[in-house]
Amino acid sequence: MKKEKEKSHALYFLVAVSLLIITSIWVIWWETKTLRPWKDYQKKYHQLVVAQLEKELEQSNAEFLSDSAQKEYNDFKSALEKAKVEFESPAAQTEYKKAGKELGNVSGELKRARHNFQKLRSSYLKTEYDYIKHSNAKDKLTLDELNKEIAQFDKRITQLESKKRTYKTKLAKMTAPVDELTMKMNGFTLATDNLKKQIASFSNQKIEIKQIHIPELGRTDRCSSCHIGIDQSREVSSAEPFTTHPGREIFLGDHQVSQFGCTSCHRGQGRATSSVMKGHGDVKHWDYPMLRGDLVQASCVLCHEKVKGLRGAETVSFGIETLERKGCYGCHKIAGYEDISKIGPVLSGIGTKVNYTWEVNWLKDPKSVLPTARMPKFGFNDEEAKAIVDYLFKLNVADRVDAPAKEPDWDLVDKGKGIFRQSRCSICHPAQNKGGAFKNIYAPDLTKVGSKVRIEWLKKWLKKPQEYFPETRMPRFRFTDEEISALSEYIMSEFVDWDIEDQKLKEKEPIGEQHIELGARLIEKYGCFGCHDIKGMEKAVKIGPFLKKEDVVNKIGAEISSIGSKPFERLDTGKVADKIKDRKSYLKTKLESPRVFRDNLLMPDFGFNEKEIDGLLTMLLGFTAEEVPLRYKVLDIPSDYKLTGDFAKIAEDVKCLSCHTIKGVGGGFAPDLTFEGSKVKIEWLRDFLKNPDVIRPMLKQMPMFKLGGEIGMIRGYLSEHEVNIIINYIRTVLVTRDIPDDFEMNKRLTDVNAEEGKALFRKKGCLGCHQIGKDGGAVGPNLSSVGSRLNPGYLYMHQKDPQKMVPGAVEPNYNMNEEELLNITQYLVNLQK
Amino acid sequence: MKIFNSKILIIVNLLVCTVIFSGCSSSETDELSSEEPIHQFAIKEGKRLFQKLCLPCHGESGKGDGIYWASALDLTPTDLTRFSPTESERIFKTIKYGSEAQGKSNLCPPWKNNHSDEEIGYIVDYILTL
Repeated sequence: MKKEKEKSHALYFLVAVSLLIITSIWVIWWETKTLRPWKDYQKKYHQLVVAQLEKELEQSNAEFLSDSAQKEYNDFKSALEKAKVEFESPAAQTEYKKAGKELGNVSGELKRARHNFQKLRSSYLKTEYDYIKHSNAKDKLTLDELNKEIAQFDKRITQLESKKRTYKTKLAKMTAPVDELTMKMNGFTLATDNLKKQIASFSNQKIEIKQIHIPELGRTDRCSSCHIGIDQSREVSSAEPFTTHPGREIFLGDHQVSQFGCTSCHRGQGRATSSVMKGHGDVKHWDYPMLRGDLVQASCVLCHEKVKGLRGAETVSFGIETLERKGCYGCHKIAGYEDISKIGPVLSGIGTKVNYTWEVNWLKDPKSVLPTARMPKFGFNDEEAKAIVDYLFKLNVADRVDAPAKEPDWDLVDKGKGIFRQSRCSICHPAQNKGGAFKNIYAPDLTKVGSKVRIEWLKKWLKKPQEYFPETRMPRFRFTDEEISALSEYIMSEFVDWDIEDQKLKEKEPIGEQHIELGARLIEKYGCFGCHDIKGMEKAVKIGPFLKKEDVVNKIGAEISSIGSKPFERLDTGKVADKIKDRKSYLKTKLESPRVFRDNLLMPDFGFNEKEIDGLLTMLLGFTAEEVPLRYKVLDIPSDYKLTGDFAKIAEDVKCLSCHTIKGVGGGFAPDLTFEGSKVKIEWLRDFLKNPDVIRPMLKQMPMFKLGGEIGMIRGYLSEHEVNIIINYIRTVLVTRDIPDDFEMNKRLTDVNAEEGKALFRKKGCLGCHQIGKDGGAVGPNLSSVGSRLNPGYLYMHQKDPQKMVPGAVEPNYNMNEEELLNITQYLVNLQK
Repeated sequence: MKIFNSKILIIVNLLVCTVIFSGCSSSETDELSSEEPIHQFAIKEGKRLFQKLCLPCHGESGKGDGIYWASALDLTPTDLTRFSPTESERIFKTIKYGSEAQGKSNLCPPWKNNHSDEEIGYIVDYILTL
């Protein structure tokens, strides 16, 4: 055996050393290359920019080399040479040199004079100080002398300065032709030179991490290290990550990247730069992966309290609209929706209102009864549905009552049909796939209402809707008793479902104790009282065994105010765990089929369509626990407008604000009345209120026109006294100083040429949209007698800035001058009935 | 003692290598995404504006079959489906300055005072998809 000393370990060391070297090299390569994909992106981006600039350079060169440009250039060149020769001629040169020399002399003298002047000033100040301190007569003398000297120097300096100016102008005049031509010549190559400079700077652009740090929002975003062209206006490629931000004007205009960063809206892992997946936050345990496509709108609700009408936030806005329409807040706790009234109708008197069979069918599957149903499907079986209806009917001590359809009185039906049309019921109520243009409020579908309600109830309802349901938005139409019997006869005979009528005729057993008990249990379990007022249920909530869990009883669903922040691991994916990988897919599945996760889940099936799901999903992802500084918040201050006085009584009775809007409150369907007093003529208003049909018959022609058009007002049967109250209110309260009054307008409209206004009306092509007489389109209102309807002031303002008075008006702004405005206003004012 | 040390060194070295290389294999490869243009936003926004401004006359489909145009006049709205992308400049100018600026009737109004160039660009993008 060899001694330890004689053994060679060279091989071991060789292997070890080479491994170490390879590893070290690889580590360096990995660290600088693989972990920094943004380097390649930046390089590629710079190449793309340079390529584009080079293309532009080529173009600019070609332009320069074109015949016409070259000719012009050569002309200038020869002119310049000529000017140079002239300038360099001995005579000119001597003069130029002479003037130059003179200028030099003057400048030198001026400099010396200024220096001396400074010195004198200093000694003056010193002497002045001495004199004030010691009051020496000698000092006074010196001061006077110095004063004289200073005055002399002052004069001299002024002289020298003007002399200098003269020489300077003289010199400039001599060089002017050459200078001017040189500048013109440079103009030819200016663009090219600029491009060359830009190319040079982009070729040497530094490759580095770009970071936006906003401590206020807790953001450190390095996204622009890869998305390097995102906030540039020059688009060099439409491919990721080089593209510019889409909709720059909307999104970046009000949200500067330096103020908001990227992840504030888009989410993702702002700090990560080592891979696309990591940067976008598509990694495990990263709670906020990047929001793709329209989902990014989820972030709007973080700062914007109101997203309705916000440009670029259409999807999330639709989600919120859906939430409000479907009444999610009935079961779920949602911040901002705590004190909102229940979405469903009162059920306490249901036993006096509807037929038993209809109600059972409805409960089993509302959408199968009416496809437009708002109520979700709870999946009750026949027995369960019956038990719930039994419980509700027993509240009014009613039994399983059904009133079958009867042979109607056809004379009454005919009369009722007329009243139904005249009252424009179908503006709000859809029936048989027609009508229901006003989507902002939910008016029940009347398709099967004849089989649903009982005629006695319908009559009472038509007489005074507020009596049965105080919060209804239906106006009291002030029908006479005869009209009510005609109208109800028509409704009961027109809207009948014969399947339900057949079922009504079946034998029914009386309601038993066990039915009521089961019904009560089901109502409590599924929380029907979240959406409906039920007599007796409020009591059960307060003194029953649920006292401690009051919250749970009041709101049966999960709190969804911050569902967007809930870690994915805490969401119960139950039976479909293998299919759900993230929060987004969980929420989507929950909305599509709420009970797929486990048995015995409570959330009903709303039958959302795709658009609704997209909207709701976006909205839910935006419901996060995140807080943003107040500075970033866009607050929504609700209008504090309240109806007052006698007007309030009428307006609440006929529900003006169900359709019209006043100062931000109201239905937003019919015209905004905020400035009505300044807008329309009182005489017209009086006629219109008394009989809406006569004034605007043509408006009935466009019920499908949803672009802010008007459909015509329902007949309210207002008395003379009531009309006066309304007119007084409108002319005193609903006015604005923004619209000039008649006095002011009369002053402005003297000596105005209406004929020119008419010519202008023709010239601008107004007839394309507006009708006057027989000619014209129907995009805007008919103007045939607009002068008797609208005040001159309003007509003037509407021409001046159409969107100021009616935000969102389709009318183009022609930017007319004052004279044109007044001419056209006079023309419109003259269009009288 | 010395042999012990060197063997330990080699083993440690190898271990370190394995750890690092295994780390390497898990790092994903990133590729530049497709060259598909991202115009979704422009087209969606364009559609919204189109429906507000153009639909009444040119119709939902853009074929000039809207129902609110001035039918009593002799002219009919242009069929917007027949434009090719090369004409985008012309469409842009027509929307911005009105049809009159293109030497046609004055019935299609200019939108330059109501809408920015960017917005008009969106409408053009949408019209080209029709």
